[in-house]
Amino acid sequence: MTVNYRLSGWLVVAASVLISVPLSFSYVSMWKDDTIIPGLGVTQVKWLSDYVPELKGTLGDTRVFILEGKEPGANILVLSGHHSDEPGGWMSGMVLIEHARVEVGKLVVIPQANNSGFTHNYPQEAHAQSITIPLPNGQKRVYRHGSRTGNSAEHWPDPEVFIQYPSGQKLSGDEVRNLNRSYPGRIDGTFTERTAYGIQMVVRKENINLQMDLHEAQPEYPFVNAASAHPRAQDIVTLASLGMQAHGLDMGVEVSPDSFRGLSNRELGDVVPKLMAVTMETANAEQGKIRGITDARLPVEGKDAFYVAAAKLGNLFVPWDENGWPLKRRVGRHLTAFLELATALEETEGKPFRIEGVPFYNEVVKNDVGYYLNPLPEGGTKDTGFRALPGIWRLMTQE
Amino acid sequence: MPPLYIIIMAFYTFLTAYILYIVVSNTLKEKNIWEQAMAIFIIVPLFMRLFFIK
Repeated sequence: MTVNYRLSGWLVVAASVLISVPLSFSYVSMWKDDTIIPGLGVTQVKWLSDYVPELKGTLGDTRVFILEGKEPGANILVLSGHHSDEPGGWMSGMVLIEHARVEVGKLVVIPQANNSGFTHNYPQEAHAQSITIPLPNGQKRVYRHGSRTGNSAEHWPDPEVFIQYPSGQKLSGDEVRNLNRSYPGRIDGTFTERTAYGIQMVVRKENINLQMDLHEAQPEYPFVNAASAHPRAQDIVTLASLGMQAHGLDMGVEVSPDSFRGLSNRELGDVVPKLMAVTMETANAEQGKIRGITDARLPVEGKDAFYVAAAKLGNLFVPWDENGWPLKRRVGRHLTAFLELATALEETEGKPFRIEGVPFYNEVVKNDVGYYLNPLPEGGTKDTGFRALPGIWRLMTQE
Repeated sequence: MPPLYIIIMAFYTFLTAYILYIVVSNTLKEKNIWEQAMAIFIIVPLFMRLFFIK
């Protein structure tokens, strides 16, 4: 049989183009905002650009949800999504927005602090582009699953060495896009430093007393299922850790080291007088380096045979069995720590904070995360289009 | 004067288009159908890079 190689060559090129089209649409779909359905407790939805107008029209701009009580009290800020591939953190923020009601005090939630990080992911880590949370009514909520750092198209090129401002600490070049190394931020700094500055302005303008930053870490990492606090917040984080014991949860506590700069709790605690700043980590197999099959189920179900084996060898810093650490356990931990920290703030500072609708660990484990998310409206949600574009597309389209 | 980012990305886009041209022209000249098929793995990411990833 004679093969027409020129024809087969053109067929290969045509097939490549056909494959590229849906892949491109899939890639670009991450530039659109996630659907968040605020619950009845949300009294105001603002944007980071309301605090720093220079962020408007950029992927650094992100939603700021305010839940204000009827009476004044403690003002608490929950930051999540600094690292967009840590869903245990940002899903806890989503639950607060969609299910909590504040009676006394004020809660400010920035669920996707590094919005730019949600616009791309780590395909070479086999990370999924989205995760799906089933709701009790059969619907499914889909959220982008981004990357640890911001979109390189907003920040290109990365320097060889990232020199953290203002400390001068040297980090690897791609950390220039890591929001949790860019605090306290500056208005005329890099893209990520400008976002960090926006969050600093939220802390200042909303008179925040207690700031919590929700993260996830690899199970083989020593600082996991733990909290790191600014020295000023040592007492409340220790009290909260004791409170966690009542729920059968261990939470390690450490003071954020003075020599490790750029972190939200360290830097904002240093520059904002009286601010109590805490960062918390739960264990996510997807973060780890010895994980096995990596797909959209892993960050939700949290089961991994390699981690079961590693636990038996005593190589992990968290207890691990065949049930793994599913999203519901990680969200349950974060929300319980949130409630215990709020209680500890009242006990030590006398600032009251009353909130309804935030489940403790056992409730989240029993009901699962989808129970605390709002159903989608009938007929689905409206496509809001592209609010901001990365890189060259923004430069070519902005006014 | 356009921003430096746009100038560099323009060079990158030209370079991507040139590499694509080389890959496609070699694919058309190739006399082994499996080697032609392997070109998919080169053309798809470069095609996406050419139009979207900037």
